[in-house]
Amino acid sequence: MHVACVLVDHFPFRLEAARNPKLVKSRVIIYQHVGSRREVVDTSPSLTGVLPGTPLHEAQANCKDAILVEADSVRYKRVHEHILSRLGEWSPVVEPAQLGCAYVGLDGLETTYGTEERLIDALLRSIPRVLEPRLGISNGKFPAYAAALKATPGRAFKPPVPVKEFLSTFSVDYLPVPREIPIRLHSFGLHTIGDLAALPLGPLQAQFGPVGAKMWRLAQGIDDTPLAPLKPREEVTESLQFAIPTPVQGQILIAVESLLKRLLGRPDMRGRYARVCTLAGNIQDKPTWTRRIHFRPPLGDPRRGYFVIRSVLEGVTLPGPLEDISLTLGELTGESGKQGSLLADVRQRELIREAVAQLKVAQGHNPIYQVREVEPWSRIPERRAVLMPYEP
Amino acid sequence: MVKDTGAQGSSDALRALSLPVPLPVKADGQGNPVTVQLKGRWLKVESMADRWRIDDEWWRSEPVSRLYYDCMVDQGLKVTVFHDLVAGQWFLQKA
Repeated sequence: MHVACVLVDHFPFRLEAARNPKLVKSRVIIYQHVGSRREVVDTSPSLTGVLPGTPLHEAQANCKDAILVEADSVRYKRVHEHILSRLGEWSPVVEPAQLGCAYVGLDGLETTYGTEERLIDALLRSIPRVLEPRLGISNGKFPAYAAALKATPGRAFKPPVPVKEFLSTFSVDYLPVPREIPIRLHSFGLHTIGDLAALPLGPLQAQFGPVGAKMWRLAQGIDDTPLAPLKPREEVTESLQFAIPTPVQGQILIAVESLLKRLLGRPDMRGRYARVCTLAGNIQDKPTWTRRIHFRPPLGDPRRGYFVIRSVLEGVTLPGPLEDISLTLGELTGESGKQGSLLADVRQRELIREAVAQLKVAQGHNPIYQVREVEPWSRIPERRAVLMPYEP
Repeated sequence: MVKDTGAQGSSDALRALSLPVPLPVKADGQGNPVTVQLKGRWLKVESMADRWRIDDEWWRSEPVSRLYYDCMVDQGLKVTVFHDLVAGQWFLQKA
């Protein structure tokens, strides 16, 4: 399996620096609100020792001169998805990893693009140069990631085969395992991947279970984890820019009405209905404002959509004047009609199916479970049955 | 209750049912429960309806060895508790 890892390290910082060039040479901490706490999301590369997830007050205590920037998570995610989409133009297999990182399957593409160099060049050009992307190429995801770490910005690196020796100097902190595992490895005196590779499989597996076996294989340079390609999400988006940034709800609602008519009037939306709509708007010097609204039943009529959105926005206070507004319709579905049935069973099934689909969209997963017998004969009560997501 | 549609599920979405819950219990000299703590209240075990032991999964690194008690507490409330003989802890067995 031939895999490329595309990596933009310090992705949030690089996006903020692209928006505000004054940050490039400064010490910067990017933070977000998590409940009542504020914690670090990313820092400038010059600021070492401050890890994501650190409480902000702790980070500030160590770097009093750092500039604080509130994270614009919506924008980071949007740019990351745009990069994935660009990479998808070159390879049918793109697996997203964390922000600023993705794996691209390269098998069979040389015949399409001629040489590997042309393909590498195309992948690097998919990402804005200001983000300083790096590319690593190897026979597995983890070796490709390690190769990307070694690459210089704007270039690709392919380590020699076998990769075991190349990986041996990397710290165990880079292993794709739960965070507490490297801490335990360090306490055992195992600091590098080479230290792990020198051990036999048995003791590692006995100590760490399946994770130990996984770490041993990675340390030997074996990573046959298949790529899980991104599932395309069907969405349609329209946006418009305000002549003057506005906080006035009336103007925003006029814009929403116009966007809804445009979206639902598109030829590709004929006979299509949307279960969810996302409103987003840029606010100067503040993170992107966003609001997600669910429709039940799915939306096909712009007048009903306007009414629902208006009633949601009535209770909302915007954090600042909107410079622009975009409306995205997602979770598109086919015609949603209420076909009456003479059979009560069929009617009930259809109602349940619709309710489950709506809940999946609202909650991001199916919250309805059913009991399924597994070992009804077991003497251990909790082994007899399990809860499984209910699929109508 | 809905009919089982027979649709295939995925094993990573399974959730356990009736998992035992750790329970504070005071036992007498013979190891029988005397009082149990439910919802923050200590309740006296008024009588014991049944008692049984299961020993299973001996091949695993953590075998199952439990002494079960069906107890009547607090004006007719029935609870099933067990003493985990491996971990040395008491649990409430949910129905």
